Amino acid sequence: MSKSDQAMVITGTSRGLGLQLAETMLERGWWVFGCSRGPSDTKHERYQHFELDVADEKAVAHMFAAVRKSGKQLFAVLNNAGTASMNHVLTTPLSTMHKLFSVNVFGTMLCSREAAKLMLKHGEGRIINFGSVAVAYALEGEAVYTASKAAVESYTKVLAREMGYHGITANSVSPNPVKTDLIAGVPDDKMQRLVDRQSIKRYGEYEDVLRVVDFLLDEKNTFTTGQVIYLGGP
Amino acid sequence: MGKREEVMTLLKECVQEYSEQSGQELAIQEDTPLIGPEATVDSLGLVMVITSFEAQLNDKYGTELVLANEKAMSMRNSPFRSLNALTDYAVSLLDEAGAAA
Repeated sequence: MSKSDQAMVITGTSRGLGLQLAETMLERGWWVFGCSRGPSDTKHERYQHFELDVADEKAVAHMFAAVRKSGKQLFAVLNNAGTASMNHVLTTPLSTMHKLFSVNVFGTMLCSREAAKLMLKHGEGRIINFGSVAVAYALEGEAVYTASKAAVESYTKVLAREMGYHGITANSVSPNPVKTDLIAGVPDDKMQRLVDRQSIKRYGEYEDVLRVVDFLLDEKNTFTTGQVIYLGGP
Repeated sequence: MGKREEVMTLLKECVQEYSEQSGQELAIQEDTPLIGPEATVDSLGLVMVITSFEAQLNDKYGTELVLANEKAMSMRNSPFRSLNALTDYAVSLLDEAGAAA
């Protein structure tokens, strides 16, 4: 099976890491099905974009139905879509909690579920979820975000157990701060204090994330599952 | 063949497929229970049958059904209790989705 017969779903492809990952995977010959809440500027014969909320079950089912109908083998899903919000626990509105858990947790769960259903047919697949070093650091000011990413990492471990028998691996890439829109509103000194807590004290780069994604995507890498990989070291 | 009969045939094929994959000889009658002490499949088997059945339905009728939804989980009598019940439930979802036989 070559890349020309294989597809991957990447969520959150309108900007940031998701956009870069989509562009890289298209260059490498993958068929990419991407999604975000808004439109995408990506134009490519092997790219199909869906404007959707990843927590909308019907919309997600529709996207994965399109993958199924394309006749391509779904080999991987990169559950990159995520949102963040800084606030003290005493002043965090319920609506913020709902929003973060909808996108970060329920979106990841829905896309993982629908992807795994398609992967079952082929007896192989890679589910790559996105956690965060915020979990390892129990970051103050990021309680809800941290809790949502902890949920993603726990979910990934159970998912790995339930899907292992079927040849499907599930892992979490948990980046340290990478300079994207996600952290654009966070003061520099706060980000620097976070970077200083890492084992390797620098911002992450797209290529750091890509290297881990590549390692997990490798067709020969059938034995790495249920792992949470913290970039920069916890 | 009517829609219900078509759907029942698909479901039986899914149970048969799981029977062959798992190496177990499973009862596949219309009133065969799928859950409970007399179930023909174990819990993992039920998951595999539901997943495979959902894919077969969506392929055949061009739908985007999700069988394990809130409606299924909140029904007084589980739609997964037997082949008959699951068939009736699937037909009702297909009718709601406007899928023709």
